[in-house]
Amino acid sequence: MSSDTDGPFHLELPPGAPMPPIPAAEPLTRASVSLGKALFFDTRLSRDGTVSCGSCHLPAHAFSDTVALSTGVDGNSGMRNAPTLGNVAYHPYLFRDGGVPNLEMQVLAPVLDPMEMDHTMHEAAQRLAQDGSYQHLSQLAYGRDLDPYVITRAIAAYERTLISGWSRFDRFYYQGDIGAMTASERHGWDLFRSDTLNCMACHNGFDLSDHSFQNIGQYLEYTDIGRERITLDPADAGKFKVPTLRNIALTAPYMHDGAMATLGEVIDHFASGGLPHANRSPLLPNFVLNEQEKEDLIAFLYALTDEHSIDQVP
Amino acid sequence: MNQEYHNVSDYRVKVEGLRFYLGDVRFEDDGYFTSVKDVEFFDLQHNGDTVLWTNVPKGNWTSLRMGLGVPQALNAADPIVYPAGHPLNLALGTYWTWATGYRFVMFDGRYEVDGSGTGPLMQPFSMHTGMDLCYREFDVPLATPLVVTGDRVSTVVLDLAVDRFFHHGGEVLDLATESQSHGGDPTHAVALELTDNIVNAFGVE
Ligand code: HEC
Ligand code: HEC
Repeated sequence: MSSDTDGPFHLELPPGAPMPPIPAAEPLTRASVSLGKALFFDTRLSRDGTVSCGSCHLPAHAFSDTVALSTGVDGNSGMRNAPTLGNVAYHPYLFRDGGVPNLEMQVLAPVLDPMEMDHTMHEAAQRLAQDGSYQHLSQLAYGRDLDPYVITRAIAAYERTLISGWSRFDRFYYQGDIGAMTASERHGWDLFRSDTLNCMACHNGFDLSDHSFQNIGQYLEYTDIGRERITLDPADAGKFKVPTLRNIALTAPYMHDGAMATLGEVIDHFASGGLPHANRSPLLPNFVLNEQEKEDLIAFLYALTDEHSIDQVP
Repeated sequence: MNQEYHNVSDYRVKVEGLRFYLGDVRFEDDGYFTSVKDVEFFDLQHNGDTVLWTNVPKGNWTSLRMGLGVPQALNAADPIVYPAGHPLNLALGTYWTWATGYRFVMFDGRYEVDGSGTGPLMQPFSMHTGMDLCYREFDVPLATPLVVTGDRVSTVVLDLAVDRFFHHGGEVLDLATESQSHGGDPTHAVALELTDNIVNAFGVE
């Protein structure tokens, strides 16, 4: 007899999706991802029991937030916009500055951050360990009681299942279903991949991001120095990880600080080539789009929305 | 701790917290080094802290070599694996999640830059160092060698002159202009200055 928490978890991959790297020591099991999902939405991970990971990473918005700066406990807000967690499994490093090397270690950041959950791993684990269903899953998945180690492993395992690739664009591009996109969306795609716009210099591959760090000239002086905070190299000032464009219609506002409210604003920014910051990427051309072309480009970006939830854990 | 005194710039200073890591602690005898501890945490809230090492080989050790901070490999590792009581356990609250590394020195307190002032309102200062850049190896020569015989406890008393945290050589760390450091400044200027000063403030009694 098998229950829905026995055995390995079979990750469903959309057409065109490469297998994401899953560390050998962290296999996806039905117990680990179920436990991770429950923890992800559990507000007891925060000091005052008001905030869960899901409070800022909203499933209805591809696990991103709808405000520029999310609120943590006591109404505090941090300095960056909460990004989508779709396809985080493919990211070679986490955070917009790449400061965290893997999903397991990333879990510590929101839990300990005074602006977010403001808790300690030890106290959070103690409280959650009183929950019998958690103990059961923890034993099944990791052969030990629920503790800080298990919490980080399970949440990371769940996050690796959040694969995004079920959009109309994917049907069009990976399955040759021409009719899956409208003529306007297809024209937008042609603009997107044109040398004139050059979007694919950075937004390429299955995740529509090469995950490199780029300065797009959003500011002449960045209050958030981005990648430089990690590398300490002034040549990295104002550089942020290239974000995925999947589910972009659901993940407004945009950019590391959520300063751009609409895709129209974003396109206007790129059309201008950005401000002449010393580190601005040379891959950014200026270009001019008429109203119809701009609409088509936005239509294409909307076609990158998954047709169903990216959460595949029951 | 918590006593007021006047520092080199004649500011009133009250140190409320001093916590730091020493990494890769070794004793030296004539060019030969013996490792005693990979990392050790000190909290001077009671004006001192004591650690016991039971693995120092017999010998006449003439010098102590160590790093101020957490050595690179340990600093980069996943901190979740350390049990309670370990110097790198997360419960100590010394971890910078955004940098995935430890604070090396946490030096906190209050100060008043107006030397003549006696008012109760002192400004907080908080200087925390971290990241590999701020790891600094240094030697403390032992005036009298540490003699380890294996049958009794030998003691080294390290002295840390907090007043020297504010200067070394001709350089002065001026609280009026530099009172905060939390790793956000990519040059780590204040942190590096503090690091130099602390390393120079170590001595043996
Ligand atoms: C208070 C809001 C908030 C909460 C709560 C929160 N996050 Fe986040 N999350 C953010 C923000 C803001 C960022 C972007 C931070 C950055 O890039 O520096 C982020 C980034 C991330 C990233 C990195 C994504 C990327 O593209 O690099 C992951 C993974 C993540 N969060 C997972 C979690 C998990 C797991 C939890 C719960 C343990 C959690 N978050 C709780 C706001 C939040
Ligand atoms: C030089 C590399 C580069 C090129 C070329 C580029 N982008 Fe980006 N794009 C980025 C980076 C980096 C960010 C994130 C900046 C930040 O977080 O502040 C971004 C952000 C975005 C966002 C907001 C994403 C979000 O979740 O906040 C959209 C939409 C976008 N780009 C679309 C485009 C389009 C359309 C083009 C072509 C006209 C384009 N990009 C060209 C690097 C690039």
